[in-house]
Amino acid sequence: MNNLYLTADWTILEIREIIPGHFFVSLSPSGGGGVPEYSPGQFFQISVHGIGEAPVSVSSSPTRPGTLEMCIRKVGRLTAAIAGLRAGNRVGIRGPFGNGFPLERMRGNDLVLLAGGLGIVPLRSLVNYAVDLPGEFGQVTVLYGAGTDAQLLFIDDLLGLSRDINIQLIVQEITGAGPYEERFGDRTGFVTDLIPGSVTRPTRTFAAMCGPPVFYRYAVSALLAEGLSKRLVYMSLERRMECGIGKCGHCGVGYRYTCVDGPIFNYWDAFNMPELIEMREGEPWIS
Amino acid sequence: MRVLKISRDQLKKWLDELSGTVDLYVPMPAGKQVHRFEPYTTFEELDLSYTRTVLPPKKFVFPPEEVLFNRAPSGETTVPDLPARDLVLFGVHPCDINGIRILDTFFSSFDKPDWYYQRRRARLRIVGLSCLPDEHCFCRSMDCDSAASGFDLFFHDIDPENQDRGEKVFFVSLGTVEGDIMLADRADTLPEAEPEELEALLEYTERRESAYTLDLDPSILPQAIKLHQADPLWDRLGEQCLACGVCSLGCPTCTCFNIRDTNDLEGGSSRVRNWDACLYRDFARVAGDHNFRPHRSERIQNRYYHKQVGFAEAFGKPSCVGCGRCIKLCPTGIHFVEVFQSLARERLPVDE
Ligand SMILES: Cc1cc2nc3c(=O)[nH]c(=O)nc-3n(C[C@H](O)[C@H](O)[C@H](O)COP(=O)(O)OP(=O)(O)OC[C@H]3O[C@@H](n4cnc5c(N)ncnc54)[C@H](O)[C@@H]3O)c2cc1C
Ligand code: SF4
Ligand code: SF4
Ligand code: FES
Repeated sequence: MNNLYLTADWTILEIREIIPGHFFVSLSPSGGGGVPEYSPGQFFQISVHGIGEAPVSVSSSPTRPGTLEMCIRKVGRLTAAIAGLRAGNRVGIRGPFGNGFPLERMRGNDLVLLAGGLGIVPLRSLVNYAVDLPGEFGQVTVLYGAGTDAQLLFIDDLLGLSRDINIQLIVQEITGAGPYEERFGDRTGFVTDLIPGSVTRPTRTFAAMCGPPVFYRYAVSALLAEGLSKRLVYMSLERRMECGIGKCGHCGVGYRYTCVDGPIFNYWDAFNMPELIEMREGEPWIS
Repeated sequence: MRVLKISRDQLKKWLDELSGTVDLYVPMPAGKQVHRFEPYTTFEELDLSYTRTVLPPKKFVFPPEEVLFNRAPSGETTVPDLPARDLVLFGVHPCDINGIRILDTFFSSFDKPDWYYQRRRARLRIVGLSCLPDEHCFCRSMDCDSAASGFDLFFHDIDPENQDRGEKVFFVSLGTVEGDIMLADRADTLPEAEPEELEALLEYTERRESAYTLDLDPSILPQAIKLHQADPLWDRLGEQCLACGVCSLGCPTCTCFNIRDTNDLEGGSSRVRNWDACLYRDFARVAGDHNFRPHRSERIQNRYYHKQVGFAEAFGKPSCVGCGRCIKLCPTGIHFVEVFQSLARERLPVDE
């Protein structure tokens, strides 16, 4: 039997602060042997031994083998330790864990991907996956919002794909820090403001979203208002995780464990488990 | 099932002998009305008529703290060894046997078995012992008042008030070949119970059945909890609960844990896991200080929901065996059964 708590040594090939406090990391197994098979939407547990371990989404696509890419925001002890590492340093890795996006079901359909802030990290994996497999998916639309234009992640990457995908950006405040000012005009707001009109074939469109906890309820109701069927709406959720294998209990919601049954959940899961996404106080938001 | 007979003297001799070859743990008094599973010393010191230990036997398969691995400065990783001898738990009651069966299911779930649990479990032998319920027991309601399997040997003491009589006899059932091996050839020579003795065993079982004072109808629980998530009862409980976590730590089927790293002075580190409890404030807190269950009322509701509904939906039966520990241990008197009774009684539609 496999001891799923043991980590493998991986080597950092590249680490770069892409915007303040956010570190792009590319890695591969130290002993060779290649990156294990994974799927967009899954996550790995990354360790700095002696400090701790944390779940981090894959941001690369399995269609581009050889390395694994992540983007880590410095928020606490472990992520600060990672931020202090350099190319050539080693970290501990175990995984992949979690279910990933329902790629088989999504095939042949349009995709509307909604990201708030760091939520772009797992969605980037799916975007690159779809772009690398032309003809497998219909129209891919990315709606991406952040606090300010200086906080947008992977923006050159994404804009480089404008020929293949429809990408729309929005920020709450324009600082003029980035070279993207012309993309916004005078419009500021939330990513949910981009939803109206973004869906052309509501019965043939899968939505996938990832963002801060408050974002889901608004995004879901806006999508349903566009005529999307409930079963076509997916969300990538965050919970506190310790084990990643359905044992420590921290990520439990209702009868599900976010680490094995998620982190990608369908709308119906949230419908049945009120705790899954935050709802308006006392107001039934489900239509 | 065949039932054998063993005298008190033979039992004593057997335990004396067994403690020489395995790590033998037995229920021992540890103060007034308090018992613990402790290493066997002498037969006279163990208490065969105890009701429940403070901590359930889960600590032998899932210890309160366990080193997952040590890592040397060189990066070399080692997993600590287990003690050389197998562990035999003598005197486990049916609720706790059922508790271990639930742990077995849980720790092998999702095709992702817990290596540390499995290796301890593979080295654990369970010797069951009959008991009489007290005012906190509701194992019968949870269908855990007897153990159909999950033990290697099971001893029935149908005369628990009388421990000193020279003629005292225990009835023994074999659950597994391991049980036979543990008895070291005795099983072949022990006499079988006579028909009138089996009758006495049956009478004992009936006496035990009627001794329960707590009752709960588990069939309505899932509905009662699911439909009444906004019930003001949860707020009241949230105010009463101290979030001390004792109800979870003492529960035979509560399994939540944290994982953290420690460092030694030589530059090495260890990864350690510790019991955690879903009642603690930080249980669902993530980085950035977002807490998915900031209120005690949410956390206590989550515990009840998980044990009676969530676990049952994921694994086929509730993760409560009715051992009564959480009722006995709660410093503010929150009563597992009364909570459900009031939810069901007050809140389910009643026929006019
Ligand atoms: C599926 C998933 C995917 C994720 N993907 C990404 C990603 O792609 N990029 C990214 O940057 N982040 C991601 N995260 C979030 C990331 O895991 C956290 O930011 C990370 O765990 C922070 O670790 P830290 O040690 O730096 O923070 P800290 O705040 O120091 O601690 C980390 C965790 O330990 C717990 N903790 C801390 N102190 C205590 C205490 N005293 N008692 C109890 N608990 C404590 C906190 O609840 C916290 O969750 C993801 C999370 C999940 C669940
Ligand atoms: S919930 Fe309470 S009564 Fe049920 S098994 Fe746990 S400690 Fe025992
Ligand atoms: S033992 Fe009682 S007070 Fe302590 S956490 Fe449990 S319910 Fe709350
Ligand atoms: S992270 Fe431990 S159960 Fe999900």
